[in-house]
Amino acid sequence: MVDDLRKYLNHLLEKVNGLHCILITDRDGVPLVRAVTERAPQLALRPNFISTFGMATDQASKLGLGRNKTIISMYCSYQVIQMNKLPLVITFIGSDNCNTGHILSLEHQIEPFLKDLEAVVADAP
Amino acid sequence: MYVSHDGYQIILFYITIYSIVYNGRNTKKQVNHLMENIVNERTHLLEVTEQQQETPVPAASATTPPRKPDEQSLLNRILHETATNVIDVGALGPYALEASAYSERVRLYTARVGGAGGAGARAPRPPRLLADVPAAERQLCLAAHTLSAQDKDLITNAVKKAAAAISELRVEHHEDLVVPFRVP
Repeated sequence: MVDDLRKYLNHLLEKVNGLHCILITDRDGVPLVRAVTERAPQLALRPNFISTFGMATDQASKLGLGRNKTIISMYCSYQVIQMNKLPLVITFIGSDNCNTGHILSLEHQIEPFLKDLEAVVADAP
Repeated sequence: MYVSHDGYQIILFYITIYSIVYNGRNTKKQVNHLMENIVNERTHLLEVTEQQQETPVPAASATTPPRKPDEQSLLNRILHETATNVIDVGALGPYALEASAYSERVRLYTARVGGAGGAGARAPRPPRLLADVPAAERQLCLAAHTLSAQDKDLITNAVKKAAAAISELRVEHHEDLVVPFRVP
């Protein structure tokens, strides 16, 4: 299953120009499935980078605008898009000029496969 | 006051005692009254008549649990809700999973994901715009009767007429294509 999902994520990586990696992790940044190209920044793949999103989305949900769903961070040469699918987190890292809307539209294509992964994370310590 | 007569002296003594006692009561009442007017932590927000205050607790409430724990739990709930609603980014601090816990969890996820695949989980497929129809339906489509010759002629003639009509379309211009505006 995980190999097929990885192939599928790689297929999505090829479709979006400038997208470097797609990670599906738990809220602590522990990866379940990842599709990574060699252009992806290694620092951004570390669990302590990804787990920051879990805290940020919790705090952002308290601002009175409802539950926070996605956080987009634009850097000088990268963009990081993280989606709240708790207990899972989807992280996309792309180049700064990558089409952000195109990345956001991948959510619907990945979503059907998250249910099985949620069951994997559900009873984790 | 001093009066030489004994009887008068006694009466005046009683009058003095009475006035002292009476005044003392008055002052006590005044003090109580003043205390009631001062708003403090014991002052009732809503004025409740003494009758209502003294109303005995109905017998049905004797079976209900005492109020204190309810209030305590309510207070705890309010405190908890307030604490969760407060945005305190500074107190969050850096969070990092221990290396051993991380590797253990990676191993656990790998095993579980592999197990899910073995249990016949649905393999993801890239979505296709043109999906093939099943074999039975395909046979049915292929075995269906073709178009009759009459219908074919009708369509062919209609298309020919339409093509002829389109080819005969001409633009006849009667006025100049470029019209100068009368700008002063």
